[in-house]
Amino acid sequence: MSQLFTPYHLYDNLLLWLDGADPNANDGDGVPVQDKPLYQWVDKSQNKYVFEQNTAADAPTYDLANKRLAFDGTEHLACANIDNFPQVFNMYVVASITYTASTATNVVISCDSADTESDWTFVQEKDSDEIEPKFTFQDVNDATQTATSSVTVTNGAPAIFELLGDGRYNNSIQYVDVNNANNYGGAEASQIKLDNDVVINLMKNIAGEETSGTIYEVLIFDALLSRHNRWAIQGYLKHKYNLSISETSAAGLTDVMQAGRDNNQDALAVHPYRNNPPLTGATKLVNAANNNEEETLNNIYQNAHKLSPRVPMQYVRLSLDFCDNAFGSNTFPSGCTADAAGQPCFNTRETCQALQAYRLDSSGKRQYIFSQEMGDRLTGVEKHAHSALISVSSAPTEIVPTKGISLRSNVTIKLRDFMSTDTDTDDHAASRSYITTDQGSYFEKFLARNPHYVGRTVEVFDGYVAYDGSIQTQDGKKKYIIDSMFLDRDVLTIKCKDPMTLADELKAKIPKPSGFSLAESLNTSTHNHINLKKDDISLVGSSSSDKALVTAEFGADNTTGFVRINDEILGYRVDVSGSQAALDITSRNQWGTKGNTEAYDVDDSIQKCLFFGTYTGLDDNDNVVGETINNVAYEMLVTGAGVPAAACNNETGGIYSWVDEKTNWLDTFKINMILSEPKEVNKQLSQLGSMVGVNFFYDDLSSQIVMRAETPEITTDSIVRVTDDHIVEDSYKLIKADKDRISRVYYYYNLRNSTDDKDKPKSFKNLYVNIDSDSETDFEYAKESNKVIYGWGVKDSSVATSVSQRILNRFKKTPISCSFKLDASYDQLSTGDHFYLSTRHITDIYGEQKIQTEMQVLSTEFDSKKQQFLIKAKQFRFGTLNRGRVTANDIGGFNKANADNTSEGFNSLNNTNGGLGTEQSPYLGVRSTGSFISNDANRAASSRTFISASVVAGGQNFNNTSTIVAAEVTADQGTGLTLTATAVGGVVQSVAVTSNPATGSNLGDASHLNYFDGQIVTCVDGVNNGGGAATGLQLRLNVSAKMSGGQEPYSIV
Amino acid sequence: MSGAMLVENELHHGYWRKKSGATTITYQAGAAAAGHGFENCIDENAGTTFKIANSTQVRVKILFPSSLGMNGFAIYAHNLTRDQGVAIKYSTNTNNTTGDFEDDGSVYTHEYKPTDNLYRPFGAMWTDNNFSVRYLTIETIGWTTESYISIMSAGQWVTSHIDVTAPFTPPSFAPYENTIKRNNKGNPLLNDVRKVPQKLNIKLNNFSEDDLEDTTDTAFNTRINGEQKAWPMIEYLGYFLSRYPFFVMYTQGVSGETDAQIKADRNKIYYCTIDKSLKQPSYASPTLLNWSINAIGYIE
Repeated sequence: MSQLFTPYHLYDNLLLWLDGADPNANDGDGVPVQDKPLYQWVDKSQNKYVFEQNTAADAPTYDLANKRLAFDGTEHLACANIDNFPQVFNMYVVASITYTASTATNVVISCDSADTESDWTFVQEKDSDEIEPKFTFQDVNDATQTATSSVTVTNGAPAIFELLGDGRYNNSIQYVDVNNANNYGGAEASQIKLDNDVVINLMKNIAGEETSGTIYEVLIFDALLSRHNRWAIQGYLKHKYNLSISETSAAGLTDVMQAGRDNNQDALAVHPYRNNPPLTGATKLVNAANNNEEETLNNIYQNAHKLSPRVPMQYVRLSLDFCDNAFGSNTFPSGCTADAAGQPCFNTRETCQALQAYRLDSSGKRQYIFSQEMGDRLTGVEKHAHSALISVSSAPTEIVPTKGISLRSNVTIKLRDFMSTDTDTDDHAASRSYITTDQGSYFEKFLARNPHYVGRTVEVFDGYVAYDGSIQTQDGKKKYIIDSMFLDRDVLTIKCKDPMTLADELKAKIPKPSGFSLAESLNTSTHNHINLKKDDISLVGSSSSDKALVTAEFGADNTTGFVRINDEILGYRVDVSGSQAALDITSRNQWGTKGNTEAYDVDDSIQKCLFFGTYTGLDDNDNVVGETINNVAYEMLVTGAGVPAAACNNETGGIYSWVDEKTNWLDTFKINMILSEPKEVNKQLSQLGSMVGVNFFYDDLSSQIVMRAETPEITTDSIVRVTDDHIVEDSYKLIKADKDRISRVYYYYNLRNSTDDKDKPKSFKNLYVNIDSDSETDFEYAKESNKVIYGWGVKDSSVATSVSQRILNRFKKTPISCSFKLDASYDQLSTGDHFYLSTRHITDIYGEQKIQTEMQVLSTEFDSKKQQFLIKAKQFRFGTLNRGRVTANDIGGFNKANADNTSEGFNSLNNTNGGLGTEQSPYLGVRSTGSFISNDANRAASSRTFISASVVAGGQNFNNTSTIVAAEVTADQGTGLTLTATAVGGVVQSVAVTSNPATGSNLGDASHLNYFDGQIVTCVDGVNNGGGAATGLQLRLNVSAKMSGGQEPYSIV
Repeated sequence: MSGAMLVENELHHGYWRKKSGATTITYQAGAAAAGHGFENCIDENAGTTFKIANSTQVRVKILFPSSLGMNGFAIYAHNLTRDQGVAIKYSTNTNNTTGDFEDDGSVYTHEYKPTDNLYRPFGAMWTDNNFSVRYLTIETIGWTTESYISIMSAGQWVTSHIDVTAPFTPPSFAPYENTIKRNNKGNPLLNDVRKVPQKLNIKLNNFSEDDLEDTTDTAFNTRINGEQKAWPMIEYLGYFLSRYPFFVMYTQGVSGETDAQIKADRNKIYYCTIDKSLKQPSYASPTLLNWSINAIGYIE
């Protein structure tokens, strides 16, 4: 349940947080449109400072595409009321300066102090092609000093500038750095003079001269951050803004992720967060030379969830539309044209008196906060936080295995109505002609003024009050959309759903209905310039607006695609040239459809089709084509159903990356299909997910729609264990549902005619049946249990065989389903996670508690009042159809030099044991039993190690790097394990398995025979370590074959 | 015991409900934090707060359109410590509305601070008599930019007939609900505590029928729905208790106590709202009535 690390995890130390992705500090709910002049940038720290510009010509513009503010050299922002500037601070500025050949001293940020003796500036233009992290300040003797670095960045290139300022001591040193390049090599040993009452300017120097460039983010902490936190902030900034990590031949750096150094000044090989963003709870080595010193990022809730007793906190925040204008004012930034002498509006569309001026393009949102009516409140933390929250109840997202799309979550919020002064809802409350507290209750007025709430955002925050009294809720934030609101007997009920409901039946259909029809009859052949009707009105070729109707639906001139007329799919090309507003029909009888024998009539509907790949799944050169499920889903959900793009991570890296999941498991699963009649998006996506073995579900904690292949975890090291130590007493319930068992899978694929019924066997060309015949015998379950999949988007037999086998492997035995409760302090599980369950309720045939059962979380539900999670889970098993044997890299087919498929470790030379599979097509030929698996260092790290070990007990008297040979390992089963142990103070902290197969060994020398997964072994080190015998080391073994590239899991024999 | 109830918040009714015309708030020193003006602490909403903008202490002047009877104040939902508080100055000069307050001939100044650091309600009857107050100033003492108060009430503590008897939950009663869980092995998991309001039963005893119609307490002379008169006690209390939150002190101290003890007694204050509805007084004997008021009380 790790989450992306953000400055919220250092919130208590944040003095200032200007976020380019969220300039209105409303969690990104209301951001300015592209190129909108930005008159204020709101601080997201607890100080909530506002950087303003009240002159239109001096206001920067918002660059929505790049999530940054653009300043043209005549613009700036300033905040005049900062009065708590600390004596020590750590500042990050992500910005660029564009050279303008002006004579001004161009800087990104300047600080103009009230005492005029504590001014400073940071990030300065050096020359025409370089920007330097120059810090100019005044010391305690009123002398001007500078700290800068020899490392510069390229003019115009965004960079991460960092400053460590310290005015506390007479020997204080001021450090600067850029892009983590030189470990704060830019330094000036002078005590800085700092004032707490300052004006901070962005893109303006002390003399008032303005700078051309961009600013993405500014962070100021009131402390010097630790090494790992600095790396994490750098990683957070890099991945958030997708900053460049490629170097060019420019004068300064362009790679923002320089490797840097650790606490001992030792150079790192690579920046710890160069390729992946930081996650909470992550641990990194910060000083290898000093006992491998490690540092862990703040965990969720900053560990307040582990306090005992702990004080829970829950509140909700609604984000509703709110006009950016001030009533009756046409002075920048307002543009209201209503009569100022009239009764003011309430800044909502319903109450607007000048709709033509109504605008939501700067922020457009106001947030309303309601904290719990029982328990601690947000009083003193938020300006308005009414104690009105009665309850939040939810039906969580629930994964339904093999169904493609999960059950959508819904949340019901109940709020108590109350009398109000209207100060948070009405900017004109004080000047109204009536007494606000005597005129209607809060929610009566709220609903009357805000009837347009459907689809707007509501967030539920769950968390705790930390030891210092601060509220820690950011990691417990869940985001939903409002479905309905109603007020009944002083209780407002808000029903909310997850964003995937936007793709439900009543909300979105794909392809969108075209509304076009034939304006002339169409015979049985191709046809140029077929005339069209739109909404039953004939289009006129000379009309530009009619041409626009055609291009809006079918694309620009000469765009090609497919349309459906009656039961035929036809190829088209747009023709809006000259006097045409028409389509050229370029091909007939496409996608397996049969053409007409009589002409299509005038007024027959023309429906534009959405398609991926080709009818055959091959291109003209017989190469396999098609689209992977992640791209298909993104198109259907984001483009088709209007699901927010931010909720779908169809990029490489980051949390819940669809591309990463595709790369690991689904690269070869191509979808070739055409959608020719409008149907519910979710239903179609659910079927597509099912046919390639993928689940889609919404994770409300990360606000992300997750795409997850129904496959085992690649990295089993990170799978957490749940034991009776964690489960709340008497909360465990076992469900063994026989209907979950599957003994044969019927997989229909290769749809014959793309307009035929997609749920009828006769519509398909091919059928693949995968049977577990043993389980159907009278000796076992004595009956068939069928699963039918209609793979109407699948053309390739390998997809059918792979998905069928995965399903059979997982469900050939009746899986255990269970539910149990966990205390809020054990917050390791979220929906879709795999975990090992070890409880006295699950035993083997001898009644012994099973060491572990791999489960998948189907749903999690948090009960704020009882402070516990309700977890529903299902056993996640894969059968032993595939068995592998660990062996050396250079024997037989494993030798990369003479084998065709060694990269994945299959023994291709022995067809009776291994398959002929490759990474792209792993299921060719005879496969399964007895495949050999190599440990080739060229393979992906995730699939390289076959035995790993975790420390159960660290023992005593071990050296820092003790070598433990096979003879020193005591195990009731298995031989050959050797290790290197890393110890601190004689206690082993971690171990590395050194006996995994190495180049040069032979099949007969294969290591690790007979160890089993989950086995506990005991180790000693025979070398005299000076402090006594090294004993007592206990390890838990993890034995598995971790494959990549769409491989099935192998168990080691 | 002889208790007192502060049911009519003259600050709220004066400023927000314009009881007798426009009450004004001006800052004579310092400034309130943006969005945390003084008016927030007299809006009867615990979700809004009065905070100061910077280290400069604030002095707020509240000018009523005409003189009002007052004898005390109370504060709830704050984070003030023993070193922080408010100084309240008031004048009986009913004419001077523009002059320098300090030069007024009849100025009374008192400083009030919580007696502990537990953020409990505090307040005072600054005099046992009522003063006619045209304006008053409230000055913060020792506040930081983190300090806040959420609810402030000032007006007349009603003392007539407020004889409170058990069961009245003593202020020391734990205001937290504790949840204890165990794991599947029977070992304890972490505990939770949740602040919950307490249900109070405030019993006012031994009224005669005449007492209910008594109009002599000066607090009863007020404006309700536009009509200014000396209201009968039952109507005065009934109107305000059923509509607005109120403060209760269950004892004003008793005869024989030292001034310090009396002060300590008067600092045990509850902030209350009526629980569902206000019951009618009922006969306890052929001639005497009791009034049982079900309330939800907050002491933190």
